[in-house]
Amino acid sequence: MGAIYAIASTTLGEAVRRKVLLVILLLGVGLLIITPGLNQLSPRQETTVLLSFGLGVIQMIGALVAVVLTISLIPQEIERRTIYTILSKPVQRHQFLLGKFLGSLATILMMMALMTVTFLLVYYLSKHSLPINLLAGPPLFFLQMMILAAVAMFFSTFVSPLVNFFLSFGIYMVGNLANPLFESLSTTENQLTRFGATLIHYVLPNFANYNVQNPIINPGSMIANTQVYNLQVILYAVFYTGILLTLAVVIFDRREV
Amino acid sequence: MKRMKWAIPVLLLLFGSQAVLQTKIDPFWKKYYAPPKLSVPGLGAEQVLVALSGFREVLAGIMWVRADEFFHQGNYDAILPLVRLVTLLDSKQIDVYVTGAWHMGYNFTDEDQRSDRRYLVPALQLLREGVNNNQNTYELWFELGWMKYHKIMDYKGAVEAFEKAKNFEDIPLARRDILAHAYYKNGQISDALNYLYELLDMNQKILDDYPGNESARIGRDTVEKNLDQHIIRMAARGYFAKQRGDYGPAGHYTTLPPLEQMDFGARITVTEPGVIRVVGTLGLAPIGARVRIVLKDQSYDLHLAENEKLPFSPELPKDVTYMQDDLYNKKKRFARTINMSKDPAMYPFDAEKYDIVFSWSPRWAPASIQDRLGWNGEAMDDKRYLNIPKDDPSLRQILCTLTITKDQILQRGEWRDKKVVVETPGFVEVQEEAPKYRVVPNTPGTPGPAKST
Repeated sequence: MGAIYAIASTTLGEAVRRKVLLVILLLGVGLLIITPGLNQLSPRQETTVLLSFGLGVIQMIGALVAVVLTISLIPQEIERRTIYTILSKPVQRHQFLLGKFLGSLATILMMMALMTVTFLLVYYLSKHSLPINLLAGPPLFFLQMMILAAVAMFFSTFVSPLVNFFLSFGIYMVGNLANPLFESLSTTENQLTRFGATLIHYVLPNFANYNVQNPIINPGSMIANTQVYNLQVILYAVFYTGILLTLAVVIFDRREV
Repeated sequence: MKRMKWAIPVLLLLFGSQAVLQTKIDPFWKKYYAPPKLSVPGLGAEQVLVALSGFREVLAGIMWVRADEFFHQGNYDAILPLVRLVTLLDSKQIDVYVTGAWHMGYNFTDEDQRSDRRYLVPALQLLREGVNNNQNTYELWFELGWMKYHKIMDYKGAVEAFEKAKNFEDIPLARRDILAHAYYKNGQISDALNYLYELLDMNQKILDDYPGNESARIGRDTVEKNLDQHIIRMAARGYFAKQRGDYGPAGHYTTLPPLEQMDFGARITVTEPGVIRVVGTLGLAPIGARVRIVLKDQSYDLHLAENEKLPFSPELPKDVTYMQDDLYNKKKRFARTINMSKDPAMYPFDAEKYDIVFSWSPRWAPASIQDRLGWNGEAMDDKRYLNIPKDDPSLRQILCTLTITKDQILQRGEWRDKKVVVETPGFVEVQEEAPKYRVVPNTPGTPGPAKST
């Protein structure tokens, strides 16, 4: 446990010093600050635009941070040969992998928290109120990024960072499509298409589960039992992250470094 | 490999668990979190624009600003695709539904350069889609009702829409009284009066709560004036007497016979290919009546009531011709030249035969004419073209249909170089009066007075 913590805290320390991540974060915070200026795009829907853009920025920057950070964690250690120093100590490979993942997760959490606070501040200054349902989105976005980071971590054990970047974002796109795609294709008469849609729906990570911004942006309906839903999606994130990390450990354990 | 044997059961367990969870998550997500469903079969904004999932509303705003620029440039054709895209991206943009429908229902059908009534169908469809996607506000029901009331003169449909609108709490008081007018136009006189009484009570209550408020006083006074006017008019027309069953002898009410003969007649002359000169008579003096003329494919009708329920599509049936215009009746005569030759996209003339339908209903007429002829045209008659609709036997209206062929209207085939005239039997043209010019007095430094002709 000590080894995992040590690797995680080192990863966090390295990540916050990485200029590329700081630039992405600054971009996100900057976009959030200018959000009220977009109100003129839709004079009667200022709140809608503010919420849509704000939550969209948190999600987009969160995804960018998750992928850019995680794709390079393992390859960088191998390239710099620092992995030999670490693995020569009493550190198991799975501990190394888990430490790296938790470190990247802590970085994503920190950056998303910073953006969320900025957004809440901007919203409050713009609207002089702070609806409680605003807080429903970012925590679930974080869970989404946790799965995305796990996807990137899984691929980073056997592909190069560039390929990993496109693979991870590809999976993220398809995973965001999962629910509507499944809904549309599951009613088709073609059995092969139906089977394919079902397979994608249950095999690939379903990122759409965490896209809960619609009722926040367009309030109007009462949502019952969000606690049960939230518990389900938390468990889903934990299980799916578990699957990806287990696979990553299996592959990384067999890999010659 | 031996070391990793633990992984298989762990993976199977985790995988099974997440799949079971997903089956639990699906219905809840679909019910509460899925983006609003659009009434476009097989097309969802989330499917097409997944990459923009977080910014749909913002992108919609940017596109709408662009559409506004096109509007100010007069480039109306460029607006419709943007309206479609914006409403797909953000189905909550009420202004886009309203303005888009207004473009199609008014700008595309009323301008001198364009009078394409086929656009009424997509205009209504867009409003319907807006209503379905925004069920928490009165606004789109109101707009749907207004288009039917004012533009299409479908008063039954207008009543239905305004009744829906009035049930929403966000409807301003000043917009509520349109329902009374729609009731009245639809022949629901007692409903109109009852609703005006209801509105009067509502306005009076506000005035009682805010005694010094000028706008509350104006609101109350306006409703009171409308109510008085309705009561006086209906009393003068004998409505209340009929209700009581003591409708008096001739002369006591404005609408009692003797019947006025409308003597409707019309003549169409094709002056050039695609250009027609319409002259006709309608025995209504002096002014205020407009005769509707529709030139359409014999086999085509707008069927607005059925088609408005279909998904919105800005695409028009390209092979259909549907022209509609109003002919201003002055001193019992109307005349107008209608040019359909300049825009073959709007008037393709693909069909072989066309109906030219003239119609006039007392319900479209101003109140001054209704005072004379009655709400239902009780005091009007026409020897040839009086029509009593099957779905409203109380109404007496003018309806006349003439037929013209493609060759005639385009002066082709055997009609090349021939004068084409289609007219009602026994048509007698009323002589057009020469225009009168005002005599301008001579003033120093200007030419002499204009000559009176």
